[in-house]
Amino acid sequence: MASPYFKVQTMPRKIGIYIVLILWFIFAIFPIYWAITMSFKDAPAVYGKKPTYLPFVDFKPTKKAWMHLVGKAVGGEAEFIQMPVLGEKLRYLRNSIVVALGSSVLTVAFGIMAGYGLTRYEYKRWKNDDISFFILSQRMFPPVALAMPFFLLFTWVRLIDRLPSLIIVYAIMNMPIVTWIVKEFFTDVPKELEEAALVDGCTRWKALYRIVIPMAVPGIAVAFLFSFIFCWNEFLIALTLTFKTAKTLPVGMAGLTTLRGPLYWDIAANSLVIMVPPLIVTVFANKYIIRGLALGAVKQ
Amino acid sequence: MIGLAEKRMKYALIVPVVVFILVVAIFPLLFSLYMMLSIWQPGTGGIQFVGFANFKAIGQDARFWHALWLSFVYVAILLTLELCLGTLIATVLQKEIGGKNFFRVSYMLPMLLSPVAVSYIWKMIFDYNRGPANHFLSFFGIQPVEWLSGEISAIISLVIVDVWQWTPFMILTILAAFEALPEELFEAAVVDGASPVKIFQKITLPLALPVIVTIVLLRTIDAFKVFDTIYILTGGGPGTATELLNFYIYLRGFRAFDLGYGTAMSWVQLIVIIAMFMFFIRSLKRIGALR
Repeated sequence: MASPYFKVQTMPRKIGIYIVLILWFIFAIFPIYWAITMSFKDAPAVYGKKPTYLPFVDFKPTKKAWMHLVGKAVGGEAEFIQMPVLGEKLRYLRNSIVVALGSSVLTVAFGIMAGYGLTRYEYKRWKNDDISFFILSQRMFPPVALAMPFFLLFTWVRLIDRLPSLIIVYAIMNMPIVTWIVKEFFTDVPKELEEAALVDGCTRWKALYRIVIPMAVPGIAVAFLFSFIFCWNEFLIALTLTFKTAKTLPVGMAGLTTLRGPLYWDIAANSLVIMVPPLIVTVFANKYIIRGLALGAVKQ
Repeated sequence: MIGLAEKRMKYALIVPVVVFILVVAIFPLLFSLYMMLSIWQPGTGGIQFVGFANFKAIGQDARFWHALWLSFVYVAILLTLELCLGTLIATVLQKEIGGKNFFRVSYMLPMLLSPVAVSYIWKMIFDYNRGPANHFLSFFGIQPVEWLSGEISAIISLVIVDVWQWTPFMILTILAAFEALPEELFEAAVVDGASPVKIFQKITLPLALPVIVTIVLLRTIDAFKVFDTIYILTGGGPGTATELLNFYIYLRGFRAFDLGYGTAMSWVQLIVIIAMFMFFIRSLKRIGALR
C-alpha cells in the first residue's frame, strides 16, 4: 500500500474516519455486550426504572443465570426446572455438535473430491462448467421450498426427527460454497508437484492425500469453517425436520419463551452459549473467514 | 494400465458427488413439482392430484400478494441500506489507518452469530419499558416506541436486525473487491492531482462494480430467505404486518399442514425472484454497468 491515496493526510479527515468506524463498532458490538451484561443481572437490575449498563456501577452482577444454565437452582428459589436450551442431559448441545461436525466432514470430503476432479480432469460427456453450475445451482432454492418435500421424503424413509436427515440436508445446502472454495485453492496447487510424484510411482489417491490436500489445508479449513458455522446456526430446516429427539440448539432455544416467562438473564445466558463457536472462530480464525469471503465474491 | 486407473479415478471423484446431489436434492425437487399440483393434507387420505388449482388459489389469495409485496419492500429497503453503509465503511477501511485489522475483525462478528440467539438479544434491546433502544431515544426527547408491536415499527425492527447482522458481509466483500484493484491506478490518479472523491467516482466504484453487483445479487437471494428473525421477534405480527413470503409459506406448509399449497407458493416465489434477476442483470448490461 504505497500509494498516497491510501494515506490519510489531514487531521479532520482522520477524525471523520474514526467517527464512522467507532460508531459502527458500537452498533456492531453493543448487542453482544448487552447480552453478556444481561446474563449477570437479576430481577432488580432488569426491572428497574432505567436500563442498567455497567456491572458493579449500575448493578451488582450475579451468577444466577449461569447456574440455571447448568441446571442448578440458586438459594431461595422454588422448585427449579432445568433450562431446556441445552436439552435433557445436554441432548440439544450434543445434537448440534454431531450434526455440524458430521455434515461438515461429509461436505468437505465431497468438496475435495469434486474440486480435485474438476481442476485436474476434463469431463467430456458432461463438461466441467456444467458440473460446476449444477453444484452451484443448489444454492438458489429457498430452504422453505426444500423443507416440504424433504419432510415427506424423510417421513417415508423413517429418518424424520433423526440426526442423519439434518446431516444430509445441510450437506446439500453447503455443497456449493464448499466445492467452490476448495476448487479455488486446488487451482493454486501446482500440477507439476503431483506429476513428479506420479512418475515416481505414487498413485493418484496418494498424490491427492499426500501432496494436494496438505498444500490446500488453508482452503479446506475455510470451507470447513463456513460449513460448520452454517450448520450450527441453521434454524428453518431443523425446525421442520425435528420434533423431539433430534432438536438442535437453535430449535431448543426457540421453544424457550413458550415454556417460561421472559426471564431475560436466562435467555441472555442461553444465547451466549449458542454463540460460543462463532466467537471462537472470530477470535482465532478470522483470517480464514475474511479470505473465504473475498474468494466467494471477488473471484467470479 | 495407468490409463485405466486414471479413468477410474476421474469418475470415482465426480460420480459420488453428482449422484449424492441427484438423489438428495433432485428427487425432492421433482417431487415438489408434483406436490405443487396436488393437495396433501394429513387425514385426507394421501396426495390428491388437482392440476393447477393451487395456482388459481394463489391468484386469489390476498395474503399471498400482501406477503410478496412486503418481501419486495423489505428486501429493497434492506439492500439499499446495507449497500450504502457497506460501501461507506469499506471505503473508509480501505485507507491506511491504525487499528484497521481490529475494526475489520470486530465488524465480522455479527454475521457469524446464530440468527435465533441474535433475535432474542434484539428482543431484549427492543423491550418497551426496559430496553436500551427506547432509553437511547429518550436522550433525544423521543417518546418510547412500541418496537415489535407497531405495524411500521415492527418492520423497521426487522430491518435494523438484518442490517446489523448482514452489513458486515457487504463491508468485507466490498473491501475485498476494492483491495483487489491494481494499486498503480490510484498512484497514477494521485499524480494527476485527482481528488479522493473523484478517484472514488471514476476509479474505485466503476472498476469494483461487477463484483458489487454479484454481492448484491447474493445478498438479495439470502434476504428473501429471511425467516429466523421473524419467527422469534414478531411471529409475522402484529396481524400480518411482518408476514414476509417465506414466513407465510412456512405457516401454510407446516402450521396449517397445507403442503401442496405451500410448495406451489414457494415455486411462485422462486420464479418471481429469477425473473427479477434476469430483468435486473439485463438492464445492468444495457446501461453498460456489467460486461
